[in-house]
Amino acid sequence: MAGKSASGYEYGKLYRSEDKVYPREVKGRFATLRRLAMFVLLGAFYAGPWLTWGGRQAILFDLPARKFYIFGMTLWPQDFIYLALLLIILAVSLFFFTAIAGRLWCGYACPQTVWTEAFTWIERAIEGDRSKRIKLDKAPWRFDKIRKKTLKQLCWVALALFTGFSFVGYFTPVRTLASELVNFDANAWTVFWLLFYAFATYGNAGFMREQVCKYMCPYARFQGAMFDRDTLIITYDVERGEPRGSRRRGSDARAQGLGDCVDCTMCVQVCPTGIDIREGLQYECIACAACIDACDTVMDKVGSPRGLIRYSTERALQHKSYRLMRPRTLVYSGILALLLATMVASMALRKPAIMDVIRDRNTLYRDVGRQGIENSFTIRIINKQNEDREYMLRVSGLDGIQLRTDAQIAVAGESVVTVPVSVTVPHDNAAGGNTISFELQSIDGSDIKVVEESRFRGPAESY
Amino acid sequence: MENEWSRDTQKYAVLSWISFLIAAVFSMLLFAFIDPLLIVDSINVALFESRNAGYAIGFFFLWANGWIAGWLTLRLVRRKRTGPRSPVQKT
Repeated sequence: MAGKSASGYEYGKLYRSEDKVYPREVKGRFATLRRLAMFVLLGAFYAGPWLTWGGRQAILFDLPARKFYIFGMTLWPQDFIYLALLLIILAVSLFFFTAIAGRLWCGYACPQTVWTEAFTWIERAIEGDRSKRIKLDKAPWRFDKIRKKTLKQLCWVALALFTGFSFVGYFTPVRTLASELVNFDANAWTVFWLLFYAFATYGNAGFMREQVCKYMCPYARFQGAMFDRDTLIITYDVERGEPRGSRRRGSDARAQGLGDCVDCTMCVQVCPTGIDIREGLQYECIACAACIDACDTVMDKVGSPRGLIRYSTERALQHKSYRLMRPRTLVYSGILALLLATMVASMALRKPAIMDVIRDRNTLYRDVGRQGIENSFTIRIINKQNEDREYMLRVSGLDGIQLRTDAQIAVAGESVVTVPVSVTVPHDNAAGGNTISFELQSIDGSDIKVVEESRFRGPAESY
Repeated sequence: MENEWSRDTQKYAVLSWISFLIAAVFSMLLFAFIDPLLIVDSINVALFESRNAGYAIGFFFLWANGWIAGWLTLRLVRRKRTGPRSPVQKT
């Protein structure tokens, strides 16, 4: 039961025995596009923390202060719903794009792909292309090998550390962080997360690479469920290519009964996951289109038309028409539109202030003689805007209810004020538990109004 | 750099990675609602002093939680026996 296919599958064995994948460098349309995506995405990631907006870091997730700053917008923990909505929107967009164009995400935008690309680029710059790397790995540990391997590791570690630094820079003001690191007085947790992220980057992009996509990525396993016969996939045109085989230059392949595939295995050599696309669509395929570029180059050389391996759909390969509007895309885009509308609407209607009313937990009520029954509350007012605000607090819901503490409350911009408040109700109306409401109205002309309900407790009625 | 992943390597890699992702998402959800300092206040034990420490401990707690749950699941779900039982030695 011997025999081995081009992608390394040994027939008759239960598990695929895998050799290390040495992806060959590839040039072409999609490689350029992929490299462009890498530069844009990595550039955005590394530059992100350094952007400023209105005198403050433009994107800062200030976890210790529990505030998120995103381009002049301040999000509070109470705005968490937007984060949840955003995550759901991203997930549904992923479904939508997968249904239309297959694994575009994997091939061009996934951090795993992008950083692997960057790490492979370093590797290639230092150790050379595929054949040189294979040779180098087989060579004994002499000076040249040690030098190259050390240099590569140093570059990888440096990139990983810088990645970790940039990541932490989204959570800690990056300029302060940089100077703290230089002076060796950064917070221990900060350093820990920096190293943790650097380690993860090194491990995922330098060490595990395509194994992450093959074995560990949940999306890779589920994406099949979003595919249909009109989804764009990278595919080998079996009809045109088979029977494959090498032929002499200029000879008539048709006369020899051969298809267009010259069986040069370039498509296998460039594949970062080490599969043979000619065996059909496989879940390991991350749709990076490297095989398309490789095959196009070969087709140009042998004088056949391009596109033996190409982006296509299952229906197109069967010479059927392409349908963009189909139940799956309509449902996904419908859900997506609905979510986006919800997000935009709720962002527009976002309340500029929040009031929390917390009852005093230690005493239910206090008898304060002629004034009646007193309840104590803690009022917390969050001013989410940058401007200072002046508010008037009113209480209602029971006859004769009165606020005993100062009704006028000032809250500075972007801050939280906690004020103890006591409320009294005459004896006759205070029995049992009653719902009362607190109304906060701005009195500086900004017309902000927040109403919150709470309970007023008095002695039980039978007493 | 051995690229031949055995079943066990696969199992533990998937286990660690998935529990990591889930812990990341759920610590985000958890701490969006709950300030870690409030937890310390309410249990009256000085587990940690800064919010950052609270986030980190929460994250690793969730990660460990997912890891243990996943590990036990992997241990307890058994495949159907395909081969013959080992013959019982009769004396």
